[in-house]
Amino acid sequence: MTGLMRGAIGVEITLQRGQTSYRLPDMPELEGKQIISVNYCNANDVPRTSSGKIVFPLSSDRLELCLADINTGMTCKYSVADIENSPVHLTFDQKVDMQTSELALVNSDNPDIWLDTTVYLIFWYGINTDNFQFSKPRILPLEVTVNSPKNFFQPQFTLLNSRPLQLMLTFPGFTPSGRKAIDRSSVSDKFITLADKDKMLFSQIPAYYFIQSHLKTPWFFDLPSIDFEKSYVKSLKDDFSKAEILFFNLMCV
Amino acid sequence: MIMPHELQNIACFEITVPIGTNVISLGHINLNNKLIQSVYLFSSTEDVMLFSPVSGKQVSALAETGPCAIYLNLTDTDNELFVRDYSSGNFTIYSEMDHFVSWRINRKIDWNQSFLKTIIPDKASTLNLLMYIAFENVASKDLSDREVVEKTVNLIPENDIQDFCLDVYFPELSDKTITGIYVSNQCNGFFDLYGQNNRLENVPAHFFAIKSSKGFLIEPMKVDLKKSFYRHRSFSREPYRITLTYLP
Repeated sequence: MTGLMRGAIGVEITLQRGQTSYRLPDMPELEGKQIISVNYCNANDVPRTSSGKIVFPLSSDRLELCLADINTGMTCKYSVADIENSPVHLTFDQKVDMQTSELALVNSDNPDIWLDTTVYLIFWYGINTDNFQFSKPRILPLEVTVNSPKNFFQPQFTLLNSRPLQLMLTFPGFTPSGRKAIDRSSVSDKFITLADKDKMLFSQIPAYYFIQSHLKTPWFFDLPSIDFEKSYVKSLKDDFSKAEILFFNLMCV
Repeated sequence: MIMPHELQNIACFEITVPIGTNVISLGHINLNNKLIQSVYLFSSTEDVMLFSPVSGKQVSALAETGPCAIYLNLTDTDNELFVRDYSSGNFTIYSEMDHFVSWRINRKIDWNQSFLKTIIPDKASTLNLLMYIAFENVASKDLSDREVVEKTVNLIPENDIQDFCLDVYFPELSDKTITGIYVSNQCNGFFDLYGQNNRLENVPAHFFAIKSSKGFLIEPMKVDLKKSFYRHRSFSREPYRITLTYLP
């Protein structure tokens, strides 16, 4: 099964003293969408959410996600540890009623430890398919200079009439133009937003999830296009006196 | 669906990457008019160091993150530069990991117009890497519904560089169609197979240890076992288990 993603959104749930069950926040972007995977952001990889909040530091086996199927009303419980530890994206493949879905804390013996920390989940939507084929892909380089909180990709005129398939982040020592590129330890505070002409498609996704070479099962876009002039990398850094360069390759057909 | 890559032919080239900023031509790759399926680099890691089956030199450990940069640029026979500055972090297969992006090219390549762009810091050493190019030359046969049998042997290396002729270990397979290669983990060597119509040249055994959709299979092939070898190329003296499946 191959996941073809039409979008994704980062969702923050800030934990409160004594509360073990949390309704998911209202996410109109996910209305009617087929959720095919959820990622739990581990504090080691993503120490702060895209809004700068401290990520829940405990093991994911303390968390459970209860997703309600919008058609049947039935809820399915998923251990977030299973989601995190799965070598591939788990397959949910259902339309979810966010208003009746919940995040639950389990084994909560010391509530003060998580007080004011935030669980950061990524909901991916699109389709799963057994029949995904593409022919004769093309591959292009993309560099993003990070020197402010919000850093836009450069316009990609070479992408006109091309359909994006995969965006791949790597850590070469230098970019093709000879500039020093950042290493992996510096991506934990970077978040990627990809847009088309009208709307955000992938919103505040940790850059970590674009290191495609580390995934057992890669994921692909199911999009007619991406407007790179409206797409950007957010950085949570405090000091921008020294620019950082992120290097991507884009596969397209 | 992304499936394991079924290898019909694979050619092996040793690539030396000097320090500094360089453009390394791929014009010496004699695969014009072949339908190219994929291109990968192969690198040792610090934990699993291998010797090249071509020269016997150590295969360099190309770190996943800095300080070296290698970019692949490919032009096809229609004169389209269709792979531009593709970072080696995506197409390098490391000797003990599956950290790479599986891909299919499906084009004929003008190798004279194709090259690697490399930036290696002066304080680093010259790199010695292996490049693998998978290609097709005959129509594929689908034998997936046929019953197969298997034979497993244990190989015990006694030297850093040692070649095991497959005919010695699998003599009963001489007229059979081989359908699969399976290896134990940390199998630190290379398969060099001569088929009737195809060639798998010095393929790292690690390719067949990758257990995911990114892994590699072989297309069913009759092999000249007397000319085919498992080439051990490491300091390890651990015994290896190799299984071949074949049509009875």
